Amino acid sequence: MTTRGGLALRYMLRQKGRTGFVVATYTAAVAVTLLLTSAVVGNEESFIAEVNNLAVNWIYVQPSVPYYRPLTVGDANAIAADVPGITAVAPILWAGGDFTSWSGSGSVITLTGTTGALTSIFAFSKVQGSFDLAPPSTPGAPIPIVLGYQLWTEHDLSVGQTLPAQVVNILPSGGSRPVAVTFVITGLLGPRGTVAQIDLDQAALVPISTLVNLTGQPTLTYIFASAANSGEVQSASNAIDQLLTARHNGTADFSVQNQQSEVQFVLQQIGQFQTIIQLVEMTLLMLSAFSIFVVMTMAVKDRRREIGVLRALGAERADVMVQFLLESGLMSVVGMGLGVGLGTIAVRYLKQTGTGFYSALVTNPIDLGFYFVELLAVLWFVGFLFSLLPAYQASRLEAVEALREM
Amino acid sequence: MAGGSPEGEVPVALLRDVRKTYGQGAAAVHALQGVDLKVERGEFVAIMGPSGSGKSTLLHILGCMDVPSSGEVAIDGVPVPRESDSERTRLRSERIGFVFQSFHLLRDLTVRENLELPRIYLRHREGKELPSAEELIAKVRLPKKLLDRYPTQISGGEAQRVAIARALSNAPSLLLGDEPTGNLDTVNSEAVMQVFEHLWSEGATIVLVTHNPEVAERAQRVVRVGDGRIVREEFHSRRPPAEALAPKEGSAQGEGTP
Ligand SMILES: Nc1ncnc2c1ncn2[C@@H]1O[C@H](COP(=O)(O)OP(=O)(O)O)[C@@H](O)[C@H]1O
Ligand SMILES: [Mg+2]
Repeated sequence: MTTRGGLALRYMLRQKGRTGFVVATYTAAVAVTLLLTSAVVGNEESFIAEVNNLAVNWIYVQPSVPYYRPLTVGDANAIAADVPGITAVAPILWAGGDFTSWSGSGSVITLTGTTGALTSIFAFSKVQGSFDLAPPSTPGAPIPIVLGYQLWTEHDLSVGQTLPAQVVNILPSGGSRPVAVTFVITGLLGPRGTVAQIDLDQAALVPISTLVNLTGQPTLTYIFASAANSGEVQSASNAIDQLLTARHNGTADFSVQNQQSEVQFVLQQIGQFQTIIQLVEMTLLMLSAFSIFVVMTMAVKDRRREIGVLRALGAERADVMVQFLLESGLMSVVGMGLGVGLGTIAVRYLKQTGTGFYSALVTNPIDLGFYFVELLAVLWFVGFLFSLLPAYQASRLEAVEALREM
Repeated sequence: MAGGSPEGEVPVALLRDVRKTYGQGAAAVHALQGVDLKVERGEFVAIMGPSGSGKSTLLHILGCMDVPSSGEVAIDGVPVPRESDSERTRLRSERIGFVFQSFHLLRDLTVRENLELPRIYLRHREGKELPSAEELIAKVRLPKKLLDRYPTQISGGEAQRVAIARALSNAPSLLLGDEPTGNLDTVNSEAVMQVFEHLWSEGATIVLVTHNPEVAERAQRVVRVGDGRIVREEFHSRRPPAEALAPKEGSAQGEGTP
């Protein structure tokens, strides 16, 4: 039985080039949007999880220039002594090519030189042992080490165990000077996850003074501190800023951050990303609307005679309009279907092959939730709106005019 | 129209003082200048006249495709409204079959789909039993195997007969043709005319515009149009074959005997 939908389909198939144009713009619009949306939704979730993982009272001092190390243990001590409202300060000497390899396990891990205060600043749960990270009383005695959750569970380690190791200090000349040491496990930490892009479950905490001695590096990577309560975070941050500026002879070669500024930063980044996405979406939307408008307008021009035939055979103006709307609707739906398919394949591929940003992609479009459905609806509706005018023009054609024999 | 009244009571088409003017002022073209025409049920009328004399305009008004500037038109006794396009379309959909000079089959649809096309828009069947695609193709004396072909895969003569079959798919009261043989050679013209005669013999009411005297010969009545007016009417003694003269119960069109 002949139907309006069947007729629309035939016309779509006849104008392969034009149909392809509309379908392709819709496919591209939906696929790109799907990709961007799944990136935002996925990464937003992990960003927010990380930010929420920060302790609310958390303050953080870092060099303002990467690889430049103006902070010292003295700075950390001064903050602890002089800044009101500060309850704990932990100096951190971290990464920078200081590795140890454990004979037996063959693992290469990053050592974090710090004090026992760090466990309270980061609000670690303590599974077993002591966590004060006091330096060994006699030279050559085993060095206390506190291990992150993943480290000790993965290597099946326990408190009291000694770990023969080599601390490899990369020299400025590019060579290295391995130092043989023995660690003794004093504490095991509970799971904590990633905070401020540091995977705390991989932490290997050792006394700061010991690591300074072993590496011969007197300056710090960061200083972490915590305020007594969230209300004092901002004033304590300001006080730290003033104190360190004075200690550094007036140069602000560091910056002071806290949980609140970090939240703002993350939200600002997400906001910027969303603005870019919205711009891209708007552009794709306009392109889709434009393509459907142009193609439908051309279709109406080409098909004057056929419109006349339909009218002569009993089609009302509304029937003609419905016929063209059906055709444009069918094209956009086909394009959107292909877009969802193609976008999903692309997302899956990127997630499988990529890391970090890509690994947070949301692979199931259904999980993108209402936002994506809304977007599809808007896309479809805009196509509908932009085919209204051509469809209306088609319906206004007079049968007699359209069929005039020349 | 239900009740199967014999010819004479309600004419299939009635035009009273129909005028049609295109354009305005000095540029106005008076295509029809007062036409009175009555088409009885079962009649076969040919309209002849020089080019530009208003034949097509008259046929379009008869077929509810166009409205007169003034005057009255009624189809099956139903007045054709001048204002409402959709009411006129409905009248056309239910009661009119139209055949064009250049066939106007939709090339993306098969013959069968072309035949079924008018049904999409037919809202009220008025209890009419509508013929199937197979019945329609048989009415115009074409083989059933043509049903699955596309218009590009059949000859011009076959296409015009398919177009006639399509015009019959709503079982119309009035079958109209504007120069239906105008694009055909002699052999195909003859085949098409035989189809019209056959339909007439089955009770169809037919009005054809033609400038071919041989085509007009076959009609019962020839209406000559000149300059927007009916200038002369000729009545031929021709009658449809006797077997088909008796009107069928419930349908002026008749079910026919293929
Ligand atoms: N839409 C129109 N606008 C202006 N003039 C028209 C229009 N349609 C027909 N005419 C004019 O009306 C007259 C009758 O046309 P038509 O009915 O097509 O004649 P025929 O079919 O007998 O050749 C012609 O002069 C024609 O040019
Ligand atoms: Mg004409």
